[in-house]
Amino acid sequence: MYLTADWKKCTGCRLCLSVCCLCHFDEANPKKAALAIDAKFPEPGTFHPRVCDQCGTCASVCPVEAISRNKDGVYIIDSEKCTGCGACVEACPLKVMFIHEDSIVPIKCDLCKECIPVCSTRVLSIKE
Amino acid sequence: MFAYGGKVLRINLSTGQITVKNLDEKLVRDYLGGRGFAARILYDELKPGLDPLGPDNKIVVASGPLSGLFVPGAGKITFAAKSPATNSYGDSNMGGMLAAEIKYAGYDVLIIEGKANRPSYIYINNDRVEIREAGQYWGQGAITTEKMLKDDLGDQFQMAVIGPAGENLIKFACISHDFGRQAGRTGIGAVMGSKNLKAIALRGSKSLKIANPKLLKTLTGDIITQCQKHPALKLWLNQGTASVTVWSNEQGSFPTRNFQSGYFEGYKNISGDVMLKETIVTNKACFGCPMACGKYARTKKNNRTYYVEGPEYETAAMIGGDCAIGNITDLTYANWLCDELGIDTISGGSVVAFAMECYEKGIITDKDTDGIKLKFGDIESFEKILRKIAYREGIGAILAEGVKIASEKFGQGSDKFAMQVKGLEISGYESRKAPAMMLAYMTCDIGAHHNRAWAITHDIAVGRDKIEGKAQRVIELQHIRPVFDMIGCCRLQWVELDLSLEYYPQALAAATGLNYSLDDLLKCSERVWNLSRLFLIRESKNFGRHVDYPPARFYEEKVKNGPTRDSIAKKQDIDKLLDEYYRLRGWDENGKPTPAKLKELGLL
Amino acid sequence: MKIKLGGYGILKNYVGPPENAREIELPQAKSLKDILQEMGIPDGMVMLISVNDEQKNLDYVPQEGDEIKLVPPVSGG
Repeated sequence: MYLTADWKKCTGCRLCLSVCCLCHFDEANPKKAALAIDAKFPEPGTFHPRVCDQCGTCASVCPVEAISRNKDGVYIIDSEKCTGCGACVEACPLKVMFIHEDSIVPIKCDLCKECIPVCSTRVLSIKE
Repeated sequence: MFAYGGKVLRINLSTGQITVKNLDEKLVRDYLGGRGFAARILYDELKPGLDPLGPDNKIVVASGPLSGLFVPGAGKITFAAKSPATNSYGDSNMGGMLAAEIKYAGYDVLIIEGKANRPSYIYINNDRVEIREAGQYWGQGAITTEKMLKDDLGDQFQMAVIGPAGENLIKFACISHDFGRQAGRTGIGAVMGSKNLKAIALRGSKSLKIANPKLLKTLTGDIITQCQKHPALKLWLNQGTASVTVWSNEQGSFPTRNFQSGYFEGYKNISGDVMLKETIVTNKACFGCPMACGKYARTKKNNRTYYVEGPEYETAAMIGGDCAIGNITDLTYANWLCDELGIDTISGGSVVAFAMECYEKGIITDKDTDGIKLKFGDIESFEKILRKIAYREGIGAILAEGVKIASEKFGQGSDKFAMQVKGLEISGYESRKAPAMMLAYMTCDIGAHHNRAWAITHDIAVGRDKIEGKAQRVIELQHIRPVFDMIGCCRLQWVELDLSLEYYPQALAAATGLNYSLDDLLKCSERVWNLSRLFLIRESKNFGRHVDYPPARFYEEKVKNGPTRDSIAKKQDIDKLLDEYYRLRGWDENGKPTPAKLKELGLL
Repeated sequence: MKIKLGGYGILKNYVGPPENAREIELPQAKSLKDILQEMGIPDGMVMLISVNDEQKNLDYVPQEGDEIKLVPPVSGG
């Protein structure tokens, strides 16, 4: 199971980023979210959400095996084990693992699905 | 302090001094944020009578407590200064990403003072603040400059920039951001230009603490679900504010040919439907907005492709109707021209429409215009005159002062159709048969702007010729709507998707831990309204009720055609509206707040 | 024939909010335009009409059981 985004519908409002941070860190900061939006302006004038497709590259490159797959197929970081080496962030093909100065542990989508209903243009959905 | 950035950043461009201070808690208590902060700071810090385009003027950039949070429409920021258009308190509200970004950098307020000795821009990356050289950007268009800065600094930076109009001190120059959002009104872009300040580039990555994150999440989650169920959401997502163009014409409230009429025969060619078919590329939202009124568009003209956000309703009204630019390609191109030059489309449209009428009437001639044959509906002469204005060339230097001063220079009765109040051009609603809307324009604290009290639906609901009760409704709206400019949110979710006003004090409490009732918020709003009035009184050489009068066209000339044809405002009704308005506000018969009212608001 | 009529914004004052819509008994079929006129809702107050979540115009003639929502004009900024 993973999150997928229909970029053509994205309005760039960032409500998904806001709710992601609020749910995971109890604070407001779209730069501490497990997804991102690239805005391509002034040309061609489109938004491109980046979301994790749970490909597992992060787990395969982690030198301390801090990332593991759960029963739903979602890759979760064990923050106790993580050393903050950044190998996963570097290797992530979709650039959807994020480093923020508040913590050495990268931020990664845990498929909590909170971002899906806040999007009024229905950009985000789950793929089995 | 929860939800606030907690810091005030002060930058003096003359001395290069940069200081950071904690946000004053009393300021928070009485003025909340945004426009409230701006009005109080400017009233306290600006010497009376100073030149708005001199180094003593200050620009206040202020977000609100809800800006940047998980709150619908939490992307509004206020730019304020003493306005070169009105010589009094001026502010303009802008969406986009800047309101959020400034708070993530840790600041609620930026105060910009002095004047740089050469073209400069302010660089803010969290705690790192620098005044940098902007020689390479000076002279460039606003859209171009923003792109250059993004290329130079990175996409994570948010910019507020001016175009050539701001550099050349055009009194209706805007501040641009996010490729299509503007702080358009009252000429704050010219104040930036007067300080040699081309841009502010800002990046923030800090977190904001929330008093009760779980509650905020639930409250906002519910309210967003409500927004999504609203039947108007689809229309709004498809057309944005342009969806009002057709209605406005049906009501005869669409300013046409410099407000000679309230109905533009070509309106169907510039409506939201046409945009949907021909120009819209992407629906573009400001931070946290579920309804995305921004219509990012593309059009081809003279073998070149232009990208621009818009036209929104006000642009359609003030350039489409008021200058009679009746096809979507030309209108979109005109919108791009204004955005790139850094001109407010509302005042810009009104100024060009005024010039077109002056030319038509022979008040100005080919000799004055250097041969430009100004004609309603003609995009070529529109472009030529707009460029002359932006660079203050020839007659452009006079028009660059706005319609009030231009009409004083041109004379020959042109002041009667210089469509402004207090020096600010009237925005997009013909109001001769809409007394509440007219009163809203007359009494708006920054000059004739619609956003403080969009009262025309009240006129239609209770009777368009009725005078009684209109002042009451205008005052209510003048308190409700500016609350949004104080808390740092957009009002359109409330106006258009019927989001309950009660949500805001609840969200404010969940975010900040501060308990305000809706009435408390409205009281703060009334305080700011009276404070900006005091500012106007302080700056006026000859203050009196005449400052609240509409242009003579509204009471001396009938609407030429359309559904409101032959309607006219009566002078005695205008006075009746003002009398009632002043009385209900606790102001004297000349429009001065009484000591009792000022005491009640804690302003005395 | 019975229909439900609810309104947003300023129109709530005439027909109640959508969640508490006013039930109206219609002795004979007539257009929404006529119905609204009889209720004293001024021309120009209704910008968008949703009937069972589909967009309709003033010429629409309501059918038994229709849930109608009226939306007032937007503010253009």
